[in-house]
Formats: sequence, C-alpha cells, structure tokens
Amino acid sequence: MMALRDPDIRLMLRVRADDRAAFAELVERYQHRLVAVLAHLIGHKDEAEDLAQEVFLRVYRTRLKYTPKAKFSTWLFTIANNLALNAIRDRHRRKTIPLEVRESGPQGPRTADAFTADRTAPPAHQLQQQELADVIKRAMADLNERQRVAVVLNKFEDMNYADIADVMGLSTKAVKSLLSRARGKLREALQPYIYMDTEPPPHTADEDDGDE
Amino acid sequence: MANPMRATDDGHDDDLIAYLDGELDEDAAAMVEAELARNPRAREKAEAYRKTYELLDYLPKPEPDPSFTTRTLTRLQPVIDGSAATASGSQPIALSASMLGATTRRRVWPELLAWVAGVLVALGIGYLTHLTTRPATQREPEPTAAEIAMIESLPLYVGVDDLDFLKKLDDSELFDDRFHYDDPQVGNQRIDLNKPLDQPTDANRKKLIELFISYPPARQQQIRTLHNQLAVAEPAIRQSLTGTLLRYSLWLDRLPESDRKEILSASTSHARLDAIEQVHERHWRASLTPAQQEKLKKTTIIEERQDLAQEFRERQRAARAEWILAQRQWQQMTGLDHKPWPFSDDALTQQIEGYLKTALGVDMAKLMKKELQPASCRLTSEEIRDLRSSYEAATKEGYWFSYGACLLRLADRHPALPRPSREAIVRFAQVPDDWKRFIPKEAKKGRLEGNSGRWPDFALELHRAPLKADNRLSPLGPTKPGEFDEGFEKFMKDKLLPALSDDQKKRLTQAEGKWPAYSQEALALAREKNLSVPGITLPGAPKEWDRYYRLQAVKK
Repeated sequence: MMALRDPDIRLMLRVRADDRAAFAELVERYQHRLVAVLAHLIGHKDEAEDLAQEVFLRVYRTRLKYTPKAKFSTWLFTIANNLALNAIRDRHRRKTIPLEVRESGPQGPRTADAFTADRTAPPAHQLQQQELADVIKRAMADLNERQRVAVVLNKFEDMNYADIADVMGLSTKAVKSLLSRARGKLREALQPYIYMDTEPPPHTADEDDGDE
Repeated sequence: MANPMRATDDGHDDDLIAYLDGELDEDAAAMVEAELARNPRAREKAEAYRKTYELLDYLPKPEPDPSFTTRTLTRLQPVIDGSAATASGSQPIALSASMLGATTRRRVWPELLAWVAGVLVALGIGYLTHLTTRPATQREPEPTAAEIAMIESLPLYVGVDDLDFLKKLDDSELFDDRFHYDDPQVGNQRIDLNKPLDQPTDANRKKLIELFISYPPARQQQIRTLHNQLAVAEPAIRQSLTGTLLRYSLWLDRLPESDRKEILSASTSHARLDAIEQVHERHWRASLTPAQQEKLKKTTIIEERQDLAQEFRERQRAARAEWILAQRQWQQMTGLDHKPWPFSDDALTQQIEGYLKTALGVDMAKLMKKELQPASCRLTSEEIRDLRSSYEAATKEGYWFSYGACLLRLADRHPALPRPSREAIVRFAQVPDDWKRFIPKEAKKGRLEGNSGRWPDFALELHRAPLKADNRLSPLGPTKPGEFDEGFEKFMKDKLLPALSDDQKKRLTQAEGKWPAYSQEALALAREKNLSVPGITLPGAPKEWDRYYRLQAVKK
C-alpha cells in the first residue's frame, strides 16, 4: 500500500481523523514548498503566504474527501492550483496588485512591447543578478496562467507530466504540449541571457534555425 | 519516419522538451537522440532549452514567515467549529490553546491563577506601588469569610484599578460585546456574571488569599470597593461592566508576558488605559498578514482604503466567532450556579418542560424514571437517551450548553404543527373517507402505523401518500384562522398577525385552505418575526436559540 510507504499519507490520514498535531506537522512540512510554488505562480510573496494559508485551511476542511490513492503532494498542489487560479482571476477583476516586478511601477506588469527593447539590446555582462531575476520574473509573468502552473510544478516541484496532469485536470498529452509552448516562450524571452556568465557558443547570433 | 526534431504543426518542440524532461519512452527517446547526434543545430536548441530553464533558478525562492504555522493554526479554529469567519479573516486575538481546546473548568482555573500569581512576583515593586500608603511589611488581618467570595473573583480584578477605570474601559468599546454580535440590543446580554468564576480548589483559594493579603492595604481596599460597587450597580450597568471585565481579563490572560507587563505596570490608570489601547492596536496589526499590513500603510488610495475596510470587517467577523467560543468555554467552566440562557430564566425553563410535553410528547418525570417509550412520544429511543443524558449532565454537572444544543437538535428534527380545534387526525380510524384509498396495503403500512397516535407525524405521513398533490382532497389539519386550537388562535390574533406587514399577511392568506402549507407558513412568519410559538416551538426567541446553540446562525 502506498499509505504505508509514504509518511505524508500517513500524516494526512491522521489529519482526516481530526488529529490537529498531525495537521500542524503537515503545515510545518509543506509550507516552504507551497509558499515557493505559489510565489512563483502569483509573483508576490506576501500574497503567496496568504494563499498558502488558505490552501492548508482548505486541506483541513476537505480532509474527509482525501483518499490515500494519490500522493499527498499531488492533492495539495491540486488545491493550490485551484486557489491560485481563482486568486489570479480575482486580481484581474479587481486590478489591484500587479505582479511584483521592480521596474514595472504602479501600472502593473510591463508589456511585451517594452520587453522587446531589452531584448534587441544585447544584455551587458555586468547585468546584476537582481536585474536578471527581474527579467526572468517578467518572462514568467508573460506566460499564461496554465503554462506558468505547469512550468512551476515541473521546474520547482520536479513533478512528472502525469502528476502535473493530475493537478491540473489535464491529459498527459496536454501537459506535454503546454510545457513545450511555455518553454518555447521562455527560450524566446531568455535566450539573450543564457550565456551571460560564460562564453557564448559560436552560433548564438543565428541560433533559430528554419524550424520555427 | 517523422523527424522527431521537427516542430509539431503549430511550431513547438514537444518531443524534444519531453526528452529533456525524461518523459519519452525508449523508442521516442532514441529517435530524439539520433537527431541530436546528427544535427548540431538541434543540439544547440536543446542546449538553449536546458539553459533557459536553468535560468529560472535565479528567481528568488521566498521562505514563509517564521510565524506561518502559528498563524495558520490560529485561522484553523473557526474552520473546526464550522464558523463562517474562516474564509479570509485573520485573527485579531488568538485564543490560547487551552481556551480553544476541550478545556474543562478544572484546567482553566490554574492557568488564570498562574499568571495572576506570576505577575505579582514579577511586578512586586512596579505595579500599583503608587497606592502603597504604608510599608508592605504591615499586613492587613486575615480576610473575613465574607471577603473570600470577593477574593475568589480576584483574577478578574487584577488588571483593573477601580470602577472609574472599568467604566472608561467599558466606554472605550475595546472589549465591547456589541462588536461581536449582529444585534446591538442583545449583544451585552450574553454574559450574566453574578458569580463569574468557578469555585477554586482549596489550594487555589489559599493562594488567592495569600495574593490578596500581599497587596498593599490601599490596593486591597480598592478591590473591595470595586467589588462592592459592582455588586450594587444597576443591573444593566453591572451587566455591561462585568462583561467588559470578563473579556478584558481573558484578553489579558492571553497576552504575551511582556505586553501584560506593559499594561499592569502602568503608573496611573490613565496610562494603563493608553497601554491597553496600544497593545490592543499592536496585536490587531500584528495579527494581520504581512500583505494586509502593507496595505494598511498605504491607505491614501481610495481603493486600498476600501480593501482595508473590508479587512476590518473580516477581522470583526473572526473576532465574533472567537468570542462565541470563548464564552461557551467560559460558561461551561463556570459550574452549576451560572446557567446560560434560557436556563438562567426560571420562567423559560419551566416553559421548556411544557414544550417538551406538548410539542414532543415528552413527560419529563417519565423520562427521568426511564419509563418514556418511543410509542408514547415523538422521539426515537436513541433520542430519548440523548435527551435524558444531556439533561442529567446539565443539572448534575452544569453542562447546560449541551442540553440546550440537544433541545435545539430535537426541535429541528421534530418540528411541531399547531393542532386543530376539532380532533387531530392521529390514527387510522380518524382518516377521512376520501383519504382512505391512500392507506397503503398491510405490508407497507409500517411507517404510518408507527406514527399512529402522533401529531402531526401521522397526518404528515398520510399526506405524503398520494403521488401528487390533489386539492380536491380534504385537508388533514387546520387551514385557516378559526380552525386551530385555542392556544394557537390566541397566538395568531395577539402576537403574529399584529406583527405582520401587508405582504406577509398576503403570504399567509395565499396558503389558506392548504394543510400543512398554511401552518408552515404561519410558523415561518413567526420565526421571521423572532416569535416563539407556545407549545409548538422552543420557548424564548428563536434568534436567541440560534445565537446560543447554533454556530452557523452567527454568520451573515
């Protein structure tokens, strides 16, 4: 049985039986991963923390629906995904807090047009790490929500396609195509920055072959 | 063979990416590998995908705040209690675990006492020394027996200077119950604290006496005066003051040591009030999430101010839920002498017995003698046991809340309907001719037979028998004024009808001629008007029952 192997499932079964110490342990154990993932998804750490709390409360509220069939983390991130997408949609509706990007100012996420300027001017080698992080954040912010979810789970949770598919309620095939698009976009946005620290390979300037 | 490196129709490298992610099966992977070996551009592209993905590692990886677990668990409590305040409210004042958990009065007492004693040790010099009028070595004589009762309430008075201070605290509304309830008229009626604390154990009483004796005489006198003034205050004022007193001392009890010290060591009562306000404000702010705190700092933009107002409301909802919990705990721990509504009201308590008899067919004397049978009342044998045991727990051990909850549960499960002035239909012999054809054949008669003798269960069961409603059938119960028994006619005439608006009266008139629709409409209207229907619904205002015994009713 999976339940016997996986300590998280055992923990969750205790939560299901109203063991609050087990719930505290679960929160303790998963908060770092969850906050990190949510921060990547919604781009704002404090909001991510709020949302992570909601996720844990939802876990508690729906504990009786949990069955030890799936990995606990899959279940957790399914809930997180739903709440994060709702939050993002709410935010679009309310138009309050922009993704936290340093240069973006109060107007919210910068547009792709503005980004083009950066891209056409080759990045200087002395680009600071913070600036690089901002460029990457922007690239992430420019993905659509579902692409971002897939990338974050794949990259930071090291989740395989099948698990991502479970979390997102998609087929594995759909996840494959989603990730492919997302990574295509990321490559497009970030390619100028990948050889920052090392010598660029000979063909960089004309890297995109006729395939696209 | 398809070239695996060629992009899919819409220009994406699904297979290459899946290969990099280790998601391809052997055959497909071999094809990608072959292509990579053959084509340097393909290698470059794969490298670019890999590298750009690696860049994501530069993204900051935020760590949750160290208080994350605590904050989450604090927000969990309303969830556990099924309250409404869970969704978004943060908790202004976290109840200590002992207040929230399955605390019995035996456990809370030592806790309250512990800090009372601790505070005095810690503040031996600072706190209230300005009141000292003679050296502390000169002690008052042992307290008289009459003073013991006052000393037993000492945990309530520890943070209070005098009546004037208490009144100001009450005026400040920081500990005002009205913030926690929907109806300002009744908010403060929740706490009836003539005898607010449970009897301490002998050992604890001894400690309290020692504590009291250790006070400077002027402070002793101050407490005595406060206690006496409270005792003779006008009931309404006393109600409000003792409520504030209780909430304030519980709040104080839950504060971190340093905050409590800040309040208790203030040199004047005025400074103490300031300190209370500051600590209160600080705790509220600290209880907000970092995001909320940030918003609070920039309230110049209207939208944000609205957000803030919203958060404020959520905070109050959360606080309300907390107080309900705290007060239930409190009332559970305060023993036999203190009963919650409606048991605090002798008249209502007697009416409950009447209600049990007329609405549920429960004879209390029989119930207690274990002679009550399901056949002679409307309850199942399980419910009979439930009622008896919760009544016993209430009268013998002070668990009035569980008794109240049990009554509400039974009332919900077995709603009564007003009786007709003529004979009520409760057995086969009384079934009107046009209904006889709906009496099921012997084999299926069980449910109907089981309800034989019960009003309105028998008639309701029969009413369910036809496949669809048929207006030509004679009604099985009263359907308009003039057809009800005396009690209900009187209730309609004196209480219900005068309270109804024209629209509501219309609603009632429209149901005329139909049973049980007319009765049900009348009862629904009574409920809307917060009226108790004698012999039909629980005695006392329905909203009060909800307020005390049904958590969901608190939510809006």
